[in-house]
Amino acid sequence: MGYAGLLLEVADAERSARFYGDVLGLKGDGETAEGARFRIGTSVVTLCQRAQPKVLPESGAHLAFRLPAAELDNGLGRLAKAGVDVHDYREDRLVERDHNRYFADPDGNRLQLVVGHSAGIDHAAIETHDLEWAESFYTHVLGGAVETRVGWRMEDYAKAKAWGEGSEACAPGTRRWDKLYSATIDPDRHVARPNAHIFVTLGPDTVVGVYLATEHRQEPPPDQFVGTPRICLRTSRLAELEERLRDIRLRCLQDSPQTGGPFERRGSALFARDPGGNFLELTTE
Amino acid sequence: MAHVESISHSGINVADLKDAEEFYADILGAGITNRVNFNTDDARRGRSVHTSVKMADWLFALALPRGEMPMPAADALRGTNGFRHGFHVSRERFGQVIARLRARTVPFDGPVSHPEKGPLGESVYFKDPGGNFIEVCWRRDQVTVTDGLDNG
Repeated sequence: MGYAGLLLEVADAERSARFYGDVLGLKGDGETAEGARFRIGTSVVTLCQRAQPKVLPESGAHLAFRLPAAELDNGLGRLAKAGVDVHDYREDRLVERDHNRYFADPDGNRLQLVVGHSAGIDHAAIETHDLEWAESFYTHVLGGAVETRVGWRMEDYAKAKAWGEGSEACAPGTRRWDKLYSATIDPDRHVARPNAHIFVTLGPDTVVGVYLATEHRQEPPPDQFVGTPRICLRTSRLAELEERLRDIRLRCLQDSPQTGGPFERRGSALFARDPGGNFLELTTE
Repeated sequence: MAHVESISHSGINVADLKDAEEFYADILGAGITNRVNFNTDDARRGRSVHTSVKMADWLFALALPRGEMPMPAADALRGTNGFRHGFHVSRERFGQVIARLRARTVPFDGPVSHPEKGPLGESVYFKDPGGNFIEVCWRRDQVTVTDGLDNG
């Protein structure tokens, strides 16, 4: 399984096209019914214009592009010239420790540049209200394997404590301040905690990050299967995935009257949503 | 004086929740009841990070401590690190516990025979992955209540 593309929501398509094309250096790849398309490696990024784009700058949600080292330097140069603030954070995920640069597009979509052997989409990180359901979906249904787990270990707490004391800068969504369960006794007491998240490998160079949402957000209606923002995954095992979507009955997913399973079909592609309401497109193309 | 009637539950601090869940399920047959603070509701309420497991009819919370937890010496197998939990099983299951410890190459001390006139038959001593001391024994004086109970 690999990244076919990502669809992002933006408020001003022209402004965003300048950012993704001129500043970030992605190659224009024409217009689709959903918006302007840009190419990076073998994947595409489509900018979908919305009056109120769904953007979660304070959550763990972000999109990471992988660039060879030389291209990364050029990209960082263009970002600096455009006056875009770029941040280095302390990373939990081993492969992101040495090279990670975070910044935001004009709408606040958080983006990341990482170093890799070739240009492409490195990972998409989304949020969910229930990590256990999310893990079941991305591993048992989509067939992925958990690569990194943050928030299950004592050492994660120690790192959160260091963040709380101001000694470690961490990416948004990776740490949080919790009120204590005993807050009725002492309402002002808070504790720094890791915000649990996992990275799941779905295929070579194809990783999805799933972060626990710290606030409830409006999810799309349960019977909506096609929407944006959306992750598009390319697979040669589409028929097998369709069978698994039908057979592994996660009770948090609603079936579509169109297919009788928790997905809909448009042409040869399958459209589904994960248990957190994140839209997915599964395609052979 | 108010006499307590039973243990409601016990909290065990562990260093790694996934490792602990797997260990307690595989060695002691624990059944996972629920995991706490991996959904938004729990996070907003500030609940502790823990997994509730059921062993026989008792509930244990495998919990992540908020700070560093003192660890006993690596070669210490029998002792206390603040406390030790002792579980009793039937004599037949006692052998199964030892077999599981051997299969997982978990270091243990025992089986240690107790005096013949005492209530305990034999004990085996080991630690969980978080350094918590555990004793498993069989008793001469009673049929264990774990027989026939489903931990799931």
